[in-house]
Amino acid sequence: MSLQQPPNWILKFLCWFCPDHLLEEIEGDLFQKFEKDVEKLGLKKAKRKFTWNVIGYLRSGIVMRNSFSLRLNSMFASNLRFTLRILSRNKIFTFINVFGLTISIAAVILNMDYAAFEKSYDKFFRRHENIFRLQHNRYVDGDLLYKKAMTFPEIGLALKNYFPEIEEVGRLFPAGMNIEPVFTSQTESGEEKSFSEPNTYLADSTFIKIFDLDFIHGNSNSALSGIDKVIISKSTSLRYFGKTDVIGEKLRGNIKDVEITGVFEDLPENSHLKFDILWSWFDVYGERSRFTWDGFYTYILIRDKSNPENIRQKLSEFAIYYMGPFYADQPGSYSQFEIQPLADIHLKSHLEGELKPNGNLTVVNIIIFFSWLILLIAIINHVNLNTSKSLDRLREVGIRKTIGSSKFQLTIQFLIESFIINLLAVTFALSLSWTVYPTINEIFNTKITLELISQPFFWICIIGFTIIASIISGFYPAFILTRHKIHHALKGLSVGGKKSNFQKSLVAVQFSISLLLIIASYVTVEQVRYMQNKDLGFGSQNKIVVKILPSHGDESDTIFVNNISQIKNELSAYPFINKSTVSSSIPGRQNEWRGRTRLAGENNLSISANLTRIDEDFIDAFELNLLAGRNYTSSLNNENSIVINAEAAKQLGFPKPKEALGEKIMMFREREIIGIVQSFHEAGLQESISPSLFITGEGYTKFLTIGVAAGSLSDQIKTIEQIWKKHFPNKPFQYFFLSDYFNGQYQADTQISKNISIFSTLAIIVASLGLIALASYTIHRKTKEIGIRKIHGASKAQIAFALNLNFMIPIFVAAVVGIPFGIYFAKWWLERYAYRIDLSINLFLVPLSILFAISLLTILFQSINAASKNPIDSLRYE
Amino acid sequence: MTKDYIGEFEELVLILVAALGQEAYGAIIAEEIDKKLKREVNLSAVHVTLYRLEDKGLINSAYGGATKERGGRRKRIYTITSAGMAILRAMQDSRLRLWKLVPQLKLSGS
Repeated sequence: MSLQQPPNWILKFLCWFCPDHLLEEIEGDLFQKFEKDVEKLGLKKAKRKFTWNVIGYLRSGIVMRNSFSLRLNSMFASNLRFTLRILSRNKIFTFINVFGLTISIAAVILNMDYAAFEKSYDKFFRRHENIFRLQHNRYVDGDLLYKKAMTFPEIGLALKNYFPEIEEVGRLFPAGMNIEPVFTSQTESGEEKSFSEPNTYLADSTFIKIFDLDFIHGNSNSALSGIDKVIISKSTSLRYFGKTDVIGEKLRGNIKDVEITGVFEDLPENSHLKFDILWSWFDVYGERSRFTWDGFYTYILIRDKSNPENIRQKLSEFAIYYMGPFYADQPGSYSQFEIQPLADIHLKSHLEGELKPNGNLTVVNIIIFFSWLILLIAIINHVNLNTSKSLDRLREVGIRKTIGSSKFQLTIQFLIESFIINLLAVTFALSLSWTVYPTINEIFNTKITLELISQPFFWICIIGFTIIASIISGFYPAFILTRHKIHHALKGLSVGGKKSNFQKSLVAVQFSISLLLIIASYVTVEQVRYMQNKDLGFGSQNKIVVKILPSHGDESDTIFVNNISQIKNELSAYPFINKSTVSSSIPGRQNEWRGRTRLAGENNLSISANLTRIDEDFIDAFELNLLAGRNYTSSLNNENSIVINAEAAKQLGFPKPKEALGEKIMMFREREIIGIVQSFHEAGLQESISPSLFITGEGYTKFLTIGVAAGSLSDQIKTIEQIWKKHFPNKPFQYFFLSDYFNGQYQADTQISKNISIFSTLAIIVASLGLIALASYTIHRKTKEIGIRKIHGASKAQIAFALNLNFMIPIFVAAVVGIPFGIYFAKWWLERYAYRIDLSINLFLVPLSILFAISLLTILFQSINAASKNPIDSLRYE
Repeated sequence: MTKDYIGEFEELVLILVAALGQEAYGAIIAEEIDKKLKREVNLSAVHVTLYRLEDKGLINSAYGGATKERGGRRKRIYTITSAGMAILRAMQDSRLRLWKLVPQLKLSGS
């Protein structure tokens, strides 16, 4: 019999949850059943059945028969019960506390997640700690010319030979440097699909050994070996073929035809790399570019356990060794190299030629800082309300002391109260952020995933926060209440003036934070508006840009060139078309042609300038202002002429544009300046206008910009597409609007201004809620005073004024404290823009009046209400 | 009487308590339901129902003697109270009254 025992652990489990007075009977019946089951089903099955039977008792009908009241009859339980009573009696206080804390904690959680995402860039690569990117700093005449993310084509190999620490080097080269790649697939049914692929890169076969791509088909060992092999991302593969199993398929290209040897999972968003197609390396540079063309990304993988510092220390030595001979005849010119850790690239790099727009560490930190400020406002609310409310409870404290509560026990009571409030707020905040984060992602175009929640560290923080916040907000009221002598407390004496100063200074802190945030949001919003509305010096409105996407050698093909000019001609026949032009670049696009030029015969002064290749309609189509000289008459035979902008003329030494006419400058050859256009913003207003040169000639057929009259855009686009397809039936028709494209440069600025606006709104809401509660409480306490004043003849207005003044003082203080911080922020923020709004007094007056208006509204109603009460009621009160 | 409804399973258990007399306890009731009605029930369901019936005052309970076969645990013997008997009768009556309204049953019943 003893062998046929049911499992012991499950009996213990039953013991644990089953009420004592039922245990014996239930156990007995279970045993009886078990013995029957053993006979019928065998020991093994019976045991399993026994376990299930026990689990069956986990139901409310059994568990709830436990006598909880016995177990909860502790001090803690009575504290808890009392807390719940207090909280439900003061519903408004509780609501304001919990609501304020909830939205501010939710803001902090969401921002932390955003920050965590920004900081997670590239850390998913298995060996990211060993991967570095080579950075090139170029000096001319002893001055830094630029810092660039790209370097020379063959430097990687030299590095690998020079440093034993380096395990592997790999290069990337943007295949669309000169011609944007277009690939065409053909399915078995003969259907053709064409797409332009701006994110195509040539890559060394070693590149995919440094970065462990997630291959779906193919592998990193062989995929990029051979000529014209490509690996493509999953989404690209689906676009062309509708499936991922495409190894061996061919893609026809405008540059070359290629064969697919691998398919990889798309890179996640949190990588500084962004490529859809990697193309096995082919030579794109000539021998003479080896030390002059820094257009190649070089990544370095160092061996495990080797110290990157060793490499850093010897890099300048290496620079002299590698570049020294090249610079031998250029005194003062030299190159320096640095290695950047992979994970630092997104937030800390900001070099020229970044592969993808970087994030900004300062912006991330600002956002985190602002969200903590809001939390601070909410915590202050909590402290302030607790403090005011606690005066009501002076009597309670007195009674508790009389019946023997110790200071410690009283403090515990207050701490439990604020703990409960914080706990509620944290719970609500978690569910709030869970509900709203998809919306937030839509509004801000962010990538919040709330992955943070799955990390234990997050929960430690949350718990830590709840405890610390409870101590902060519960301790002060506990402190001032418990220090009173019993007889004072029982009389309900007021605590005196000191405490109200403390509360007022807290209110001042809240409102100076709010003011700072309002100023910050006003400044950022105004700056964005300024950038979007400023006259750019060219016509950006009503311009449709079509990507021409030429193939290799197209421009020497007369048919192609004819097609383009025919399209232009046919377009001009339509009344809604103003003027169209073909150029190598357009405003708003980072010009890849940036070279140095100087006056012919001048050897000392050279300037760096953008170079755009244009046709004869460029100046008219973009509505540029010709300051002196003339336009090109045709797009041909201008080898010896050049048009420059006023900034270029100025930097070349001609402050008056006219003086530059007829001068000769060097651009590939000697050219005569035939025209000077007024400087216009080729880049966003973050950057100052740089010198620009405009020439005609090969390389200009990249963008077709069409000026249209206001009207139905969809009809216009349809017409343009028809003309396009007539001449280029196989080319994709890709267009965009110039103004959108240009304003796209302000996306980051728009985003942060929206973000700060939301913060300031939250801040002011939370702070005003606190003020409402505080005011209502204070006025409530002054009921008697108001009555007496009234009997003595005070008018409604006088009383309301006196009450308002009481609250306006901290707000005046807030203005005095907040504005200097606001000025500091505005200056610091606007520094990053070359063209910015002036620091006018309005920038601070408007936020200040908003703050005053809101706070006045908050208390005005209450004070007037209190002042108009019948003094008899007020005096009878208490 | 109308407010003291009991559920179908409660009724079943109550009838068995009455039927088994001095031998009614949890395990045996479950077994009887299994045997007589071919309906497999969970032991826990029977216990919960017994406690509920006891709460309603329809049955009483007392510990019986210990036996060896139950791991030395005593049985709790349930007996029906007069309130329990009353509710059983009332339910029986009302059911019969309703049955008489069904013509088909009348014919087949006779």
